[in-house]
Amino acid sequence: MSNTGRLAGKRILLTGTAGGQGAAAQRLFAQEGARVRGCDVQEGRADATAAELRERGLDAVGAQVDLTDADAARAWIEDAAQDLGGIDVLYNNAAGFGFAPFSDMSLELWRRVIHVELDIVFHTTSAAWPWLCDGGGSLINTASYSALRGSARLGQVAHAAAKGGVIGMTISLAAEGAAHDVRANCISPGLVRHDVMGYEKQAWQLDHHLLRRPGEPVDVANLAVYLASDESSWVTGQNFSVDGGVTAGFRPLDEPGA
Amino acid sequence: MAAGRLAGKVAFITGTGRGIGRAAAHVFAAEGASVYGCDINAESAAETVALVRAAGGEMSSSAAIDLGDPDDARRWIAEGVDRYGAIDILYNNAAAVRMAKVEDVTPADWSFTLRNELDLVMWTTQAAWPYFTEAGGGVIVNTGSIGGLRGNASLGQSAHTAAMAGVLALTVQHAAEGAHLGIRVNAVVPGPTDTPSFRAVLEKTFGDDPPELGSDDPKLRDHPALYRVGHPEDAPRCAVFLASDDAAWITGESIVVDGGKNALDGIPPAMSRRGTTATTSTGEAG
Repeated sequence: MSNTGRLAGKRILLTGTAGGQGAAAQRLFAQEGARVRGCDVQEGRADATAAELRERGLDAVGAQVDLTDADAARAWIEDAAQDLGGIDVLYNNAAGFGFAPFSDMSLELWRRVIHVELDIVFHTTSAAWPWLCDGGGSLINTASYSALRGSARLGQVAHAAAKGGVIGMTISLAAEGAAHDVRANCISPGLVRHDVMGYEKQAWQLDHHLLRRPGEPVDVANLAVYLASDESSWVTGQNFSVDGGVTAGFRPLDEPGA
Repeated sequence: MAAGRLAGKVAFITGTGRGIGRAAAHVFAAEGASVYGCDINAESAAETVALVRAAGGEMSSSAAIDLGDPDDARRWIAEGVDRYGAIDILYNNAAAVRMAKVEDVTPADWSFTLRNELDLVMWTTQAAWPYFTEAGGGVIVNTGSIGGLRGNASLGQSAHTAAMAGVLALTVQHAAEGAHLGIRVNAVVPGPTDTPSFRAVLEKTFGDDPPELGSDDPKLRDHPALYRVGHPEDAPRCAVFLASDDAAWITGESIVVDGGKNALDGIPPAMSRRGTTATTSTGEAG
């Protein structure tokens, strides 16, 4: 195990480690010397991600947890915190999703999206908060460029509301946590290559990205390493876009390949 | 005294010869303000005065003036205060720009654009500042641009973006320095607006056969920014609000007036090549 990495000795809890950004973050965190506890709702997936890292001598564990269940979320946080002897970083990466044109959006779908994208952040963070406040720590949340820009095609009204909520939550937690040396920051990715939603079906969004490639999970994980590390010790209450420039500028449609 | 939301106010507006400045003269005068204008082109400025007066408004204008020269800016402000006895509102609208791609920007283009988009805001503001201070307050409305907020791969606008980001920075700084003096400073940030200078950019882009703005000309399909351009009155209507006492508790703000262009992901629904239908899908929490 590395004791010299950028996250040497950090005790990190990370949600949604079945694949994509969560798995990439768990790998980078562990490589940088952190002890990482992941979870995912999909059976066996978080353990598979962690097992691969353990084979390389890294300190990683993955559990199956349904974070929409507040008690289950709390039990996972408590177990992991006891196991590690504390929490230095909580990275809320996990989220479900639900998209529909607003005209078709039922109250049921709205509530479901808020539940699987926003409530779960409350479930984990409220359980981890006393641990983070005990000695200080870093909270990393995950929002989206959808919270910053409207889209006529994505059917993202509930998604944007949930992710806008995550940003607001982050700023307020930064305020409440400062006295306890708890930092809170947020990452807003653009379109990241990811299998859960079916990347190919979403590729049309690249029309809006200045950089023509989709994000890779490691693009997001690289920022998470910085926010988890002491390198960002004076950074709190911020939202960072990792989005190929989708919020920075307009890309003309008449470019070749657009 | 004329009725209106700016009744009894003296509004100094720069660049009233055409475009948004001419529309601003109309809109401010219609709200009861006495408008004092200027332009680098005295002939077009005089035309605006005649048009505003014909519509029943009160307006006058100075001789040709080059506001990028601090002495000219001071002279323009002083003459106006002599004429009207006061200055209540300064609307920094005038600007001149040279557009070029990164590799083509010359030092001359760069200096020209900074001088005529950014410097002149500093010099008119500095010239008006003592009058505002003495009167116990005043209102400044600056003019920004979406170019000061987001990049645009279609346009060579390096100098323009630098100048416009500068104007937005001056807006917050002057708001900070002016607050205890009763001086409010805000900015209106227009999107692409149907003005003579914008049409000149269009001609440069499309050659001698530019599409009719707002039409369904297929040429516009590749330029979502042009799908619905602003009317020249759109920005001044916002400026009236910011200049009026309705906005008495607003300072240091930049308000985007662009039909939603900056708030959207870039492509108005009607312009998307791949259809506009959002589909329904759900997934469990990872």
